[in-house]
Order: sequence, then structure tokens, then C-alpha cells
Amino acid sequence: MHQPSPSSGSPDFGTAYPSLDEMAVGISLKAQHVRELMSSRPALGFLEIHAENYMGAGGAPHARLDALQEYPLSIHGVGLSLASERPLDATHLARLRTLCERHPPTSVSEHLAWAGHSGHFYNDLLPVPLTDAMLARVSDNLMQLQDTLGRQVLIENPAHYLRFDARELGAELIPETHFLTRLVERSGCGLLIDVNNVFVSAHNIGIDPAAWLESIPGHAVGEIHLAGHGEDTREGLLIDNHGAPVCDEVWALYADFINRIGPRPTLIEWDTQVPALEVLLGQTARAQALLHSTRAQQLTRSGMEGGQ
Amino acid sequence: MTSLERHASAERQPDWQRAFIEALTKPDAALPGIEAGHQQRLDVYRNNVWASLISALEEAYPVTRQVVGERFFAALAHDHSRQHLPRSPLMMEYGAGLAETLHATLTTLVETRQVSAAQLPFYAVDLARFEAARLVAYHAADAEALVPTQLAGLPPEAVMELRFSAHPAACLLHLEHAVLEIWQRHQHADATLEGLDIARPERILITRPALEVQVTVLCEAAALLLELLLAGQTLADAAARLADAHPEQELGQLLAPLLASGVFLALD
Repeated sequence: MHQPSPSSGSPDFGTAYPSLDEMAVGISLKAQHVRELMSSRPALGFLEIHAENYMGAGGAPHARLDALQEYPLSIHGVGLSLASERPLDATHLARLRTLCERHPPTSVSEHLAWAGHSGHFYNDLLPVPLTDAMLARVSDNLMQLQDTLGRQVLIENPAHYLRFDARELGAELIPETHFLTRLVERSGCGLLIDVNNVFVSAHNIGIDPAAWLESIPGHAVGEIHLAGHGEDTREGLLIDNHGAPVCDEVWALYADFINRIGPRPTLIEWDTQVPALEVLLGQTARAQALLHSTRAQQLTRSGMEGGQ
Repeated sequence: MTSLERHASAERQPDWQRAFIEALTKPDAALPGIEAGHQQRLDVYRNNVWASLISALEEAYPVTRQVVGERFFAALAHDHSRQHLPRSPLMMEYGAGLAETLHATLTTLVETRQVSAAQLPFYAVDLARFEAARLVAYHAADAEALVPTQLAGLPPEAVMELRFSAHPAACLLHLEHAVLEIWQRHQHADATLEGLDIARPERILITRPALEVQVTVLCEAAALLLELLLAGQTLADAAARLADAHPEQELGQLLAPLLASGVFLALD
């Protein structure tokens, strides 16, 4: 079992909770696939849900999770606004804790983003200037979240569409991979690396996706997301819409990434224009094959080292 | 960074997210802190935010949308989302007041454009209320509903002294239109309302004794009985009131569909 280990000196949630198997490949759970999942019970490493869709008091959504509880569950939050300049919403934090108690997850994750302001929710992952002040803010929020849940939380890199102007912001901007690394050191969080977001961001704001992935500390990575994207032809931007198959470039970046850091639990994320389950299973099979070949290479390497 | 600068920066930051939100509502607004050449890219967020709210409303009100038409609904959802932003990250709760926005919109059309009320689908307001209530019931808390067999074992006098509590998913709607049949007919693509008396008031009981939302149309007397019981009256007291208001009705016949609907909580 892989468990991202926080650096020494940071909070350690290392042993009190389970984690996903490093060879696990999962899909986002969609209502339209539930019947088929229940009858065919495909071999999947885990199911991932958006936390907020399961925060109703009762009914079919909860029954669905109960019926599929043989699969490890990943609870992926989209509404906590960890990068808000305001304190975390205590009510929402309590909802997330209640959900984790009702359907004990094997993994919990959230985003490096904000979605709410002054009591309103904007239903999108809004961008964050990565400054020292924001590092302190997100780190404090993450520690509060991890204390509340009594477990480590993975934080996901968002898709970027624009570049900030440090001079106008009046603060130095920290490169995203440094920011994430320091967040891990300060808060003891793990990382959820969305390779499609790296690819989309690289196109949109001009970074080198391979170099970006190279500078992520492998020990901190607890999960990987793979998804498809769309294109905004007017602005020449790639849009992270989770509505298409994973593209070849993202598969290649993923293969190189796990080759460097080792196998990691991997999610095929598909949220809009959701296809038939068998299409998703085709994508998971491809991820699984790459994880196996990475594992085989690791074994060969360690075998060679052992023989010396 | 000196402590004074850090303080100044921390002071400035909250304004930036507020400014970002303001820029979301203004198509051409420039936002300080974003590269000059990337200002127009705020459109990605403008589009994501409003499109996602409109799409949430479309998902919540599929039949209302069918009735008023996709273009009208898109405009309605656009207006509603700008007037009523979500108050929490629970999108399942978003759009609860769409019926009121629709009513105001139709009323304004009548008042300003001289369209006669008869030409507009005012019944869609009731339809929106119905769809909203179904969604609330779908996500309501789980609880064991009272089933008729629970009463069968009790002596009749004990039954008459019972007080009932509402099941958490139960909801009684008093509507001005024959909404259930309108909704049922629109479950098929080529729906027409031919031969239907749309302006027939309807009392609709929505329940969810297990996972499926159920709908029961109640007569006036049954609705009265239900309201008396849910107000905490014993069955005996409610029956006495019922005999005054509807002497022609028989208690057992009114009670049976209520008990079958799962509107009451199981007895302790």
C-alpha cells in the first residue's frame, strides 16, 4: 500500500486511516452507471464522488453508496474553498465530516482553489494568485480540515487559464510546484496530481508540462487524475471540461510521471457528456496497463540492483 | 517582506477575490493582478460560472423547461442565476425559488408587452413548484414510514386516539392547475395537453417511503384530514372536524390512500 508520507516535522496522519492501493484505477461514480455497476461488478480499484453531491440528508444517492460499498471510496470535494481569503465555512466543514463518517472513504481530496465569497457559491474552481500570504492561508485551512477529519487530505492542482501580474498584486508569485511542495511540508497534506490540468495549463499559460511534473515530490503524491479536455477556439485555450477521452499527450506525460515516482492510484475523470460504462472501462484498462508495466520495470530494476 | 508590507498585502488580498467576483458579472471589466494580455480570459470563468448554474437549473426542472421551451428557459435561468446565486455548495438545493422568478417574468410580460395571460403558460409556475418539491423529497432524510398493517393490530379505540407525525420526505402542495397529469404527459417526447382541463386545482401529496418519490392526488376532504392530522390532532378529533366540513365523506376511505402513501412516520 502506498501512503504519501509527510516530511519530518509536519503533522503525521500516517497510520490511523486506510489509503488506496497504488495499483488501483477508479472512475467517477455517475448515477447512470449505477445499475450496470451493480449487476456486472467490474474490477475497479475505487469509485470517486464529488462530496457535495452526497450531502443531502438521505435517499437514493446514499443508498447507491451503500450498495457499492465493496469498492473503496474516494471523496473528492469541490466546494470547501480552501484558497478563500475568508475562514473556512464551518457548516460545510461539518457536512464533509458527516459524509466521511457515514461513508468511510479510503481517500479524501480537495482543490487548490476557491468557489465561494460572502455567503455565495459560484460552482467553479476559481483561480488563486500563489503568494506567501496565500500559502499561509491554504496551509492553515488544510490543517483545520485535516484536524476535523482526523486524516490526511490530498490537494489537487487546478487547470489554469490566465497569468497573474505580480507587480499589480503587490506580492511575489511562487511557482505552483514550489507552492505545492511547501504546502505539503507545512500542512502534511498529500498531493492529487491532475495530469490533464498540467497539460491544459501548460498550453494556456506557457509552462513546460514535463518539467512541471519533474518538480513534484513523488513521495507526496497520493492520487493521479486523468481526464479529457475541450477547446475554446476563440481564445485558443484548452478547457478542462472532463468531457472527452484522455488525449495521447496526457497518457505520455502520465507514463513518464509514474515511471519516475512509481505506480499511484489513478482516476479516469469524466463528468460531462458521460459515455457508456464500457468506454470508461476502456480508459481504465489503459491506465491499468501502464501501472503494470511501471511496476514490472520497477521490479526488474530492483532485481538488477539486488543482483549486484 | 516587512511586517507592514505583509499587513498591507493581507489587507489588499480580500479585495482581490471580491473584485474577481465583480468582474464575473461585467463582461468587459479589467481585473487588477491579471496580465494585460490575459484579461479577456476571465471569460472562461464568466462562462463556467453562469453556464454551470443554468445547467443546474435545467437539470432540476426538465419538464418546466419542456413546457416553456428551451430558449425561454435559458433566459429565465440566466435571470434567476443573476438574482439568486447559490447560498451553499449543495447544488441539489439550488433553484428552489425558480417558480417565483417564472411567475414574476410571466407577470411582467403580461403587464409590459400586452400579451394576454391566457397566451402564457402560467401553469408552468405550478409545474416548477412540483418539480422542486419532488427534488426536495428525493434528497430528504430516510425514515421508516407508517404502513397500514401497523394499525391493524391495534384496537379501534386506540387507533382513534393516535397522533401522527409527518415523514421527513412528505409534502402537500395546493396547486391551481392539473400539474400531475401535465407532468405525466411530458414524460414522453411528443407530449400534448389536448383534452386536459389544465385549470383544474389539484392537491398533490409527495412522499418517499423508500427511495422512489411517489405522488398521490388528494380530494379536498382527504387534504383537510391530512392537514388536521399533521397539525397534531388525534384521528377522533380530525374525524369530527371532517364530519362537519364534509359530511358526505367516509373516514376510512379518506384515510386509506394517506396511509398507503407513506406520509406518516412509523409509530414508535
